Amino acid sequence: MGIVGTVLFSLLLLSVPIGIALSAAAAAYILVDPLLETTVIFRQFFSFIARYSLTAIPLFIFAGFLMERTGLIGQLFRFSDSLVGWMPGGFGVATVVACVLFGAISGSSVAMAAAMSAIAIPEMRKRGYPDWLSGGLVATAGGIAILIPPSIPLLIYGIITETSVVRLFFAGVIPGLLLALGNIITVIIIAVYLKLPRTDRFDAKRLLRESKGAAPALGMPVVILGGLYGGVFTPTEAAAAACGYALIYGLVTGRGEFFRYLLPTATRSLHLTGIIVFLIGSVGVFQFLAANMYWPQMITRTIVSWGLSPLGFIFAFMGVLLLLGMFVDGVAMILLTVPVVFPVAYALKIDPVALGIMVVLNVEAGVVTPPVGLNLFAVSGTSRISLPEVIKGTIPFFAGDIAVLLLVIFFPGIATWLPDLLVKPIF
Amino acid sequence: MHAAFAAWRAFQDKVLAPAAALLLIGSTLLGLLEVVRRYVLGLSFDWQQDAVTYFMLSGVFLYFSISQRKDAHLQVTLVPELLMIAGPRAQLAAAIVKLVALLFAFVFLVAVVWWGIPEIEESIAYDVRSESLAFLMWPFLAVLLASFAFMAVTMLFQLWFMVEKLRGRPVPEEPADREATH
Repeated sequence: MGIVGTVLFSLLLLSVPIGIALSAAAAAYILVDPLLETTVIFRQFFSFIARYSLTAIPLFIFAGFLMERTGLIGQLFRFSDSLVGWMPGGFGVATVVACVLFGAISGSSVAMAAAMSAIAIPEMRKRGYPDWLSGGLVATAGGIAILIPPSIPLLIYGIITETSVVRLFFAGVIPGLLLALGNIITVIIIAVYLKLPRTDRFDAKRLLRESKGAAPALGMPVVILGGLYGGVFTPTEAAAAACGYALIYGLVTGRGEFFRYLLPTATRSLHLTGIIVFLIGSVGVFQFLAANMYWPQMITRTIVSWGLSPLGFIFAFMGVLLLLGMFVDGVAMILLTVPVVFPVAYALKIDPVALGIMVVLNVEAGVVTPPVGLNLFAVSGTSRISLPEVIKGTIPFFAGDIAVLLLVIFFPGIATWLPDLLVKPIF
Repeated sequence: MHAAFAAWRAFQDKVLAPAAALLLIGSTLLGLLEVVRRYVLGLSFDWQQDAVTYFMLSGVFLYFSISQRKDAHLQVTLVPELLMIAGPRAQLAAAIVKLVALLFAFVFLVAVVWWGIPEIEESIAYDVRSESLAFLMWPFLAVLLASFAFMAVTMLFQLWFMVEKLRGRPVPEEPADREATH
């Protein structure tokens, strides 16, 4: 374990791609072990990713990008504005609501933060919102997308831990809504404190008009969640159905234009999927070695022998994740830590679904923690608000995110209640 | 070398990317067709899951080298980034760290390609098939092997240009694409 750990950390510090570092660390052991053949690296890479369930990742990404390409975020934003724009801090509240709605279509946090900052920040500027507030809000609210199903990080967690993806998807709903609620309360308090102008009154006619425009977009979560809830779809089939919905919607709204952006959208999805799959395949190589050497059992025995309580273990793990979130991408965070930690959590009888939500809440926090908080860069780059301003703006909202994480740690029922209610075990 | 890179780039953008995109779209449509067939007509192709899995993955594999060209495969960039802000000498050190990392990645990928060849030979020799027995496995393994090889070729160009840059010569700049994975 010493050789592999040393090689892995050295390569990671040298900035070798994480996927290659994982496979190379495993190779370092395989090369010196006479019982193992080097061909196993290629074989394991392929066999670990060659599963039908994994195809849900490119399909959900593709569906999200197709829907984004149709200009849907603008429609959802106008609908949200007509719904809640009359409240104090109304534009900020509308931004959060639009993020929740779009999160139910796309699982990409950064794509949403970038798109939303192009739409919402200019409007907030017009209405006197300071840059730090609008930038911080959009960067943080963008992260809600990865908890509201369909969620790519939850899908990856489910695949590598063999936890029901359907349960995970439903488990993300309440914490995701709590995050949104936290953001809404924070923006209202700040708006009242800063005496930001309230320009709009509630207009039922406008709401009706905007609802018509947004209705097709709102149909997609119904297809996904309804199909999963009804037991009609597996996650992969739900992803295929989401793609079908997006293709039909794109065809109806875009007509000839739709075919022009179909191939570029597919390549954009492949780009993102390629990065994820390359990493998952490498984790497969590493996991093969770890399983052969009985490392999960050894690590589990060691940690359990420390007499750590489940809560103590969770806090230690969450601390590591928060720290990692400053330096690595969310998917890498999950793939580097969960395969090692999951057997220990299982031995400590921690609910795998609740753990998955805690992990993804950390990923969500990671998108706004500098220096590698990708939403910070997405918002700063799109809106031309300076990075320090955006970071400053995320602080009050980040506190809300941590509060939700603590709530789920102390009351895991927040995550498990909905799947327990809706998803019945088959056996 | 510049002309060779331009040709390689054109191959990636005009052959690999559209091929990968068509595989993704085709597999998506097949997956969708199967949902409709199963729930509307009560019928199912026994080879559908295999087809969607392997063709879609082949499309993803083909894209590996393009993501490499865009420097998008995830890395922990803490050390080079810290060095980049610590003065001109440290910036040189950062460039050397990146060069060493890329060289290592290149050598390792070449080794993986080499180690993968017997796997394909074995797959052909034993007529290994997918779960539904509808598809031979070796073409899909070959696509993965080729994709690793394409990644290695891309890295070779990147290595060359990195060295040229260190020597103060002009090199083509590929805009880095760090779209997050979540």
